[in-house]
Amino acid sequence: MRSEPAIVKAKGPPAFLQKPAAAGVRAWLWLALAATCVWPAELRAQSALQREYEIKAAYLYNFINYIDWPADSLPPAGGTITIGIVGENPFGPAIDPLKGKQIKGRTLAVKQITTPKDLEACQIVFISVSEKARLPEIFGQLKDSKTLTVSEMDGFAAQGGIINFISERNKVRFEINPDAARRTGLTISSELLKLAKLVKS
Amino acid sequence: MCRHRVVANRLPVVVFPSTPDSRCDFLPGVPVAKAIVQIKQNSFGRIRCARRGWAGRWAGLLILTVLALPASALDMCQMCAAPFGATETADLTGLSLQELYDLDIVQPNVLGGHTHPAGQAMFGYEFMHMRMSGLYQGSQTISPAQAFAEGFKTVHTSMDMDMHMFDLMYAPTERLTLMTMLPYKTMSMKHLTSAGLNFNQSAEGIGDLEVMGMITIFGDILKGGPRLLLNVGLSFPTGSINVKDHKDGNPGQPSVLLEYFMQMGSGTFDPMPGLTFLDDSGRLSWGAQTLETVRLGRNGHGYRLGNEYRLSAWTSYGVTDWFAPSLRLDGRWWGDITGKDTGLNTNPTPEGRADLRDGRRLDLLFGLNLYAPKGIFKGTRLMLEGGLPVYQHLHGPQLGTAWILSAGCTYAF
Repeated sequence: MRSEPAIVKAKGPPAFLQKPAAAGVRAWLWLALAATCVWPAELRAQSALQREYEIKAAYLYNFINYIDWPADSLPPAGGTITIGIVGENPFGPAIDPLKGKQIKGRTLAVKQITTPKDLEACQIVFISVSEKARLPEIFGQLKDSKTLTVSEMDGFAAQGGIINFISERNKVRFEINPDAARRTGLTISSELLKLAKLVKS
Repeated sequence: MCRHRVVANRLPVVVFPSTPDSRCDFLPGVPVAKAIVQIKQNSFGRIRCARRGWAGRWAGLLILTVLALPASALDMCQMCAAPFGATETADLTGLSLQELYDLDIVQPNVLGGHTHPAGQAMFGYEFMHMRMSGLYQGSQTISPAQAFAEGFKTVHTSMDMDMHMFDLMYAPTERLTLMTMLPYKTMSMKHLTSAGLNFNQSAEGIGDLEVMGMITIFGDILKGGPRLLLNVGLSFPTGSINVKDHKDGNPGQPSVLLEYFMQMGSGTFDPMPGLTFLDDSGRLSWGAQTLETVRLGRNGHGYRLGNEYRLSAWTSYGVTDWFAPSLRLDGRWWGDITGKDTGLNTNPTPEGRADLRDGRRLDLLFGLNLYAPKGIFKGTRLMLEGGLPVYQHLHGPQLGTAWILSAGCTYAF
C-alpha cells in the first residue's frame, strides 16, 4: 500500500470524448452503422463459385492426358481437340484459359453446342444441368461416337455418362463409370481411376 | 444530400450537388461550397468544421471513413488484377491431377470468414488488452471528489485487463460451423480512498466457456455472396464468482470478495442467440452481427448479471492476397445486476453496487490482417486491432473504457 497526496483526478479518455455527445451525433453514428450493414445489393461475390468452375475446367484439361481415344477419333497432330458445352454454360470465363492450349500435340477449342450436328466435332462433351431432362436424347445422339461425356448432375454416371463432377467436403471430386467408357472405346488410365469414385450403370 | 466517391489513395472526397446555396446534410449548417473548400484543404480525413464541436467532427470523420472504405475498395477492385476478383479468371491447368483433387473450393484468405466449409477446422488464439479509466456518470466523467461527495468511501481510478482467448472451430457440414472459446483473464484495478490512499487489487483465472453453433439459414458458403447465419450459443459458468484479494491491497489484511466485474464469470448458464450477415465481393468483405447474452436464474451468490446486447458491423478490404485492413463498429448495451452478492455488502465502492452496472458503448476499431496464402505458414492469419469508444453512457459512477488493443492468430486446416 502506498500513500498519495490528497485526491487525484482520474486520468480520463481524450478531452473530446469526455464532452457530451450531441443528439445529432448519435443519429450520424447509427447511420454509419446502418451503412456498413446495408451495402448495395448488386455487389455479389462469385469467387467461390468461379473457383469451383476454374477447378472443373482444369480437370477437363487434365482428363485429356489420362484418357486415350481410339486413333481414328482424334484429329491428326496439329489439329483441334474440341470441348463442346451442351445447354447453359456454367463455366463462364473460367473455361477461357483452355482455349488455344496445346495438349497431345493438338490445340484445344471450346464451343457451345447449338445443334446435334455440332456434337460430331467434339471429343469431350460437357452436359449442363439444364439439360437433365434431355439426357436420354443426348445420349442417343452420342451413341455411336467416341466422345467423353462429362457432367455435374446427380446420377449422371449411373445413367450412362462417363465422368461426373461431385462436391465433397469443399473439394471437387469425380465419379467415373468405367463400363460406359469401355463401351465408348475410351481407355482411362489407372491413375485417374484411382482418384475417382467408381459407378456402375 | 451528399454522395461520396473516392480517389486512388482512398482519401474520401465529398461531392455535393452543384447548387451553391444548398446546405450540406452531412455538415449541417455549413454551406456546400464552404464545406467543399474545407474538406479539400485538409488532408487525411482531418475535416475542419467551423460550426461544430469535437463531437461533430468525430462523427463526420467516422461516417466518411466507414462509407469511403468499401467504395474505395470497389474502385480498386476494378483497377487491380489479383487472385481475389470475381471477374478475374485463374488458369489452374498447370496443376497436376492430384493437386486439383486436393484443392479447396473455398480457401481461407486474408479477409477471413465466420464459418468454414465442411471438414475444415481452425484453431485460434487472441490476446486482448483493455484499459479502463475515467469515472463516468452518464456520458460525462466526474472526478473522484464528486464520487466521494455521493457517499462512496473508495473509487476505482483505472483498470487494466489482459485476456488470452483460445478458440477452436470445426465445420461438420457446409451449413454448420461449431465454435468453442475459453478465455483466461488477468485484471488489475487501482483504487483511491477518500483519505487519499491508492492501492491495487488484482485477479486472474479462466472465464466462462462459450460454445456456439453457426447455422447458415440463407446463402451458401460455396457460392459466395450474401449469407445469413443463426448463432446459437451457450455460456457455461466455468469462471469463478468467488475471486478475492487482500483488503486495501495490503498482504497483511484478510482477503475480501472483489467487485462484480473483477469476477471471472457470470455463475449462470447463459444462452447466446444472434444473427450474422456476411457478404463479400472480390477483394471486399463486410458484415454485421447481433449477439445477445441472456442471463438466466441466479448464480451461487444469489445474483445474475444483466443481459448484454451487441450489434457490430465491419468491413475488410484485401489490398493484396496477404494484407487486408479492416474497420469495425461495435456497439453494446448491458443491464443492471438482479439481486446482489451479500459478500459485497461492506464494499464501499460504486463498482460493488448491483444497481450501478448498466450502460452502453460504441467502439470504433481499426484492424490489420495478414495471411499466409502459401509456404510453410499457409493457412495462418494474424490480426491486429485497436480502437476506442466513440460513445459511452454509463449508469455510474462507473469506470469507462479508454482503449482496446488485440492481436490474434488463427490457423485453418
